[in-house]
Order: sequence, then structure tokens, then C-alpha cells
Amino acid sequence: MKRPIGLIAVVGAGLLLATSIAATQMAVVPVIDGASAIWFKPSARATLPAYSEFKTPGGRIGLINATGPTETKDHPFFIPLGTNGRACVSCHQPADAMSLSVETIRTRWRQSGGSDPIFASVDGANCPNLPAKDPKSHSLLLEKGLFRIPLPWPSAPYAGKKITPEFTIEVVSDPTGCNTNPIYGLKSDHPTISVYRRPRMNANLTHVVETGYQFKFFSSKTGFPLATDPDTGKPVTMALMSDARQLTLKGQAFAAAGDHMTAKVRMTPEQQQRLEKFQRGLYVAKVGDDVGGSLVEPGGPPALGPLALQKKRVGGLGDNLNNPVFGDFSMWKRPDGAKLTAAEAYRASVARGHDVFFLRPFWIRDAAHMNNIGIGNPALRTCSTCHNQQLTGIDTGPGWMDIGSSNQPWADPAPDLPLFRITCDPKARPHPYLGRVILTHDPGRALITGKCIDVGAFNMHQFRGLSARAPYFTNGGAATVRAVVDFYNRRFEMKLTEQEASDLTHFLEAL
Amino acid sequence: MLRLFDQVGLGLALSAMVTPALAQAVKPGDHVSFIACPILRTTEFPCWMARSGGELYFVGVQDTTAAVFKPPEFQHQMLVEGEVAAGDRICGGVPLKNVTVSVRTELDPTCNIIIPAEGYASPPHNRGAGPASIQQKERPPALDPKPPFTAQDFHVQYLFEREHPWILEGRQIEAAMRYALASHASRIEVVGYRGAAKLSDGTIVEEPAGMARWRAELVAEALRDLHVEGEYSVKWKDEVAGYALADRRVDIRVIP
Repeated sequence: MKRPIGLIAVVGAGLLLATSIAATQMAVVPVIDGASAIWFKPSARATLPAYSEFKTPGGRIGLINATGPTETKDHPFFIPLGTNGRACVSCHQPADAMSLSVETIRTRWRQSGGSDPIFASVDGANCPNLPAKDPKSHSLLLEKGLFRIPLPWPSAPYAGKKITPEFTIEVVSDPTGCNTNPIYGLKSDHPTISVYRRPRMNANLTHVVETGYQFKFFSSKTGFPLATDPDTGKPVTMALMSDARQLTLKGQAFAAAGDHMTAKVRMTPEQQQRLEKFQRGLYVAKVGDDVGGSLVEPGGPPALGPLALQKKRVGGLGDNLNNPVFGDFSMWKRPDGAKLTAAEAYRASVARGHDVFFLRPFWIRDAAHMNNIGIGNPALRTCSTCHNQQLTGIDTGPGWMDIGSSNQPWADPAPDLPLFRITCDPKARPHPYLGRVILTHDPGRALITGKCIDVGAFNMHQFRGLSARAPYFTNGGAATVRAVVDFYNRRFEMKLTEQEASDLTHFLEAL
Repeated sequence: MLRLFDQVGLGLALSAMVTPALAQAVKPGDHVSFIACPILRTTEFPCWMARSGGELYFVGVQDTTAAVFKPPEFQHQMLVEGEVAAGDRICGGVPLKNVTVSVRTELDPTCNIIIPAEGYASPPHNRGAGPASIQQKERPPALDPKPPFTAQDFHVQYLFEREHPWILEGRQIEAAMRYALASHASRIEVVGYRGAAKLSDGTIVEEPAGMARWRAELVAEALRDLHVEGEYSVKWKDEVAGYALADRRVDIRVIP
């Protein structure tokens, strides 16, 4: 059945509206330039309502804008802050759960002839020297939703400290040409390594940036203090970016304006504060499924929908039966063999999938910053061991982890991505499971810390609104949620049955 | 890389290579110290084992990251230090008490031994493989120290060859931080040590040269990151401090 892309106006107030949003408000269809649309162009005159819903493949997501109806025309999230025409919203679109799906990117390419600012050569092309508007120049963005992230090498000072790398980087394969380019590459006058990553979700951020459970000073991953907010001195979660290179929303905003938007003038403090207040008020999650119906009906799983994220205390550890990561799904369970409607069957599958996620042990093995933090290698545990933060599925640890999404031998083949050989100093502590010579498509956190032990480690993405923002993993390596499940099934030899894999997929897609 | 369950056969083969006749009888109270590859027995809840001197030992089980016992890791040898406990074998191995497992730094890809359950019961364990039965209680905020303030010592313990403390040991750094901030410390003295292990067969294994310095510098850096100001003295003792667990440490002295 064809699923038209478009906006859905929710008519009538439901429980979702009654408890938080004024009963007179409804999900309003954002209107841009007189027409309803799902693409927010920078500088468009529109209103982002207090609550809106957007059609996604297989269902719809709901977006709470807790700061209230927001006029976009002069709002720092929606206006270009730099010189290339991009705004924050360019890569963090409401209809894509505040990220950017590859389907949307391709649509924009077709609609704009490749001239939309998201294709700006600075990082919207495989390398800035490639001919603009040629799809081959933007293949990683068009095929996997990846933006180029150029990082200095050796690393820039981090958290006020000079970094002395423990390893050297060689380029083994350079399909984009950027890492060996004489102007943009590792041997240029400003040595730079280019890696390619997905934009992260710009919503539910209070859960991502605020320290919650217990680890108020120390990282359980490193055993050492968490980095601190340079303005307040308070510990930060270090979970905002895939490599934790920016520690706060403020830092990320300024960096993004300079890097992604090529801003030459810094935004004002007032703009930044307004931006951050807006960002912190965004909550998004799936609210409806084409087969399963409404996911936020009274009596349903309490974790579903964006209201749960808005209301919940942040940072709780959910790897326990008292307060599970995603709460209770038992009301959707049905006896085996029962005659079910399509919606009931879908919901029962989601409930079973929840149990696969939360209860089904498997061997977690050779995952740096997981197996070597005191649980042993291997450890017989569940998905919720690592994906343990209530309602988001990130790690309260906090911190980055190498599960093999980028490092060989576990990474899926990616001939379109650069391949690097990392050679660690003999005196440095080696990667605990890969040793001192590592082949990787993206060294991850190691590009920031210079540490061998961090090669290929990334902060995990949230689980919410997944259906709106394919593909997945930091390198876009999984085109579908099912592909994510298949990666884990292979990587950790989970031996999932087809039913379990299908159920787990439905569960993740319902979040 | 061997698939996990293909390693069972290798484990059985390696296990069979031990000659029981060479086993030295150990008795409760004996101190044992040896380096070996970890062995995983796939009982319903897994057992960590080790072979040394012809004997099979039960070493411990997986737990939480905050647990005192740290399990071993495949691809690494481990230093096992403990005392033979009284009582029946667990998972077919001699039980140990006061056991410490230190995962060695360098990789050893042969350390991947899995042996089957062979009908043994799961060992005692605090936390199952699934979710915890209850949510860990959030630690209550630590009380800030109150005057009068005098020079105070804190000791950060390390496992063998480890330069980062674990969660529980790291709380000593936090305690030093609180005392320093409360007392407006004028001086922080950090001294790092490295130790050695005397194995049951008489071999001495030292922590790497440089370990004392790494530990001292990392602790000082941590205290600075925690906004502890004052004059810092950061020293280390290059010579091996001793064979005890306590010799692998950093001492922090906070002087108001």
C-alpha cells in the first residue's frame, strides 16, 4: 500500500493533549509559504506548533515543542547563521524526527537540482573539490545520509588540554579522494582527516545532556572525572555527539555554525540562548503505526509517544525490573494461537520484541568500553545492558563504545568509505580486543582523545523516532531497522529466530 | 577469529592436555597467585575458571560494574591472587576467597577457552544475566567534610597493570576532592607506586616501569579536572613498592 508522505492533522483532543498541552490545541499542520509542507527551508515563514505530527514510512511521529508555537522567520534555529544558506533546521528537520533521512535528502536533491544548502560542498559533498551538483560528488550523502566531518590531525586541544596521539593514521583506501587530497587531506598544510557521519537527533536532548543516575562526577567507562561544562563547571554527560568532541549544546551550536554553516560571525549570546531553550523543549517519538494504529492510546505502553519523554525525570538507569528502560508492554501481549486483528498482531509483536530487547541474554563480546569496564569478556547480558537509559536507550554510563560498526573485522563491508590503518605506539595501552594495528572506516572518539583504546568508539544514538530517520549507525551502515538487528545478530552471534528478529524490529520501530 | 561456540572444542582439547597427576594438592588457607588464561564454563550462569599447577580453580562470576570482583577478559591473560577457600568445588573448580583478578594489558589471542557445562550447576551470583531485580539506588549525596581540617590521606587502589581506578576506587579521588574543596586545601601531594606479584611458583612479575608515574599524573589530572586548586606535588616511586595488593596505589595527601 502506498504511503503518501504528508502531514496529518490530529482532530480532537486525546489523552496526549489533555495532560500537557492545552485541551484546545491540536496537532497543527505547519504551513510554509502558504502550503503545508514537511521541509523547513531556512528563512521560511512558518510556525512550528506546540504539537505536530508527521507521516513517516509505516506510521507517524509526534513532535512536542514545549516552548510553544514558534515563528520561524527570525528564530536562530530556522535562519541561516552562516554564509552557505544553511540553518540548524537544514539537517535537523521536524518531519525526520529532528534528524535527516536519506529519503528526504534524495527528495531535496530532486526538488532543488542539487542546489539546496544541505549539499554545500564544505561537508555536503564527499570532498569540497568535487564538482557541485554532480550526484557522484555527493554520493555518501545521497546514498547513506552522511556528511563529511573534517577533523584536524593530530587532534585539537580538548577540554583545555593538549592531546598527544598514541597512534599514527595511514590511508589504506580513499574512495572519496579527500583524505589524500593535497589541500583537504592528511598530508595537507592543515592535516585533516575526513570521516563521514549521520546527523544526530536534535530532540529529547534534556535526556542526553543532563547527568542523571549516580555518575555525577566520574565516568564509569573511564574511571575518571566526566568533562565539565566550561561555563558552569558542572559535569556533563559527554553523550551529545558521536565522539563527544563538543560537550554542551552551546559548544555544539557555535561549532556547527562555524563548521557546517561556514559562519564568519559568531551568533550573539541571545541567539544562542534562544536556540538552546528551543532545542531543550523538543520531544519526539513515534505516535502511530499504519498497521498498529495509535501508539499513545490510554492504557497502552506508557513509554511510547513524546509526552513520556517530556514528563520523565532524566537519566534513570533502566536495566532493572523496577523501572525498565521502556516500561511495560504487557498490556499488548496476547496468548499464542489467539485470533488477532492486524493491529493486535502488530502490537503483540512489539510486546514480544520488547522482551527480546529487555530480557533475552546473549554474549556481549570484544566491545571496547563495555566488556573492559568490569563486566568481563564475554558477558552474558541483554540489549538493555548497554542501552540502559530510560526512554532513550542511550547509555547512562555515559560514554562511547566500540561494537565494530566501523572497525574491522566486524564492520559491514563499506567500499565507499575511507579505510584507515591505525598503528598504536608500542608503549600505549592497546585497544583491548584489536591490539595495536586496527583497520577502521572511522576512528571515532580516538580522533578526539588520541587514545588507541578509543579507536572506533562512538556514543550510541537514541532509539526514538527511528522510523523517521533512516539509515542508522554513525556511518549510515544500516539502511533499515531490520539491518540494525541483523548486524547485532551477526556481531554477537545472538542466534535470533526469524520471529525474534522481526519482533525486535517492530519494537524498535515503535519507539 | 573463532566463533564463540566453535571454541568449545578447542577448550576441551586444551583442558585435556593437563595431566591430573601433576596437580599439586591445595588446601584451604593456601595463598595462590598465578597467571593464566581465563576459561569460561558455559553453565546456565557462566563460571569463570582458571588452570594452574594442574588444578582447576573457580575464579568468579560476572557482576555489575560497581562490584568489587572484576571478571577476566578473553584475549588477555589474567593474574589471579587469592586464598583457597574451604568447601565444595564450584563449577568443578577449587573455590577461592579474597580473590582478585587483574586483566593483563597485552593481548593474547589464545586466551579464548570455553568449556561446556558438563552438568555443573550455576555458581552463586548476585545478578543474573537479565535485568537487575531492583533499580540500583542512587547514591545519596556525600556529606561535605566539616572543620576542623587537618592533613588527610587518601589511598587509591589499582589492579595489577591498571592505570585507571575502577568506580569504587575512584571514590577515593572523589573523597580527596571533597576534602580539598571543603578545607580550601593549600597543597595536594600525590605519590604513585607500582607493585609486583610473587607467583606461587616463585616467579616475580613486576608492573611496567612507568606505571607509578602514569598513575600519579592521572590522579593529579583528575583532581585538577575536579577543580581542586592549590600547590601540587606529584611524585612517583620507580622502584617496586612490594608484592601486596596495597602496593599498587596512589597516595593523596590533602593539606589544608
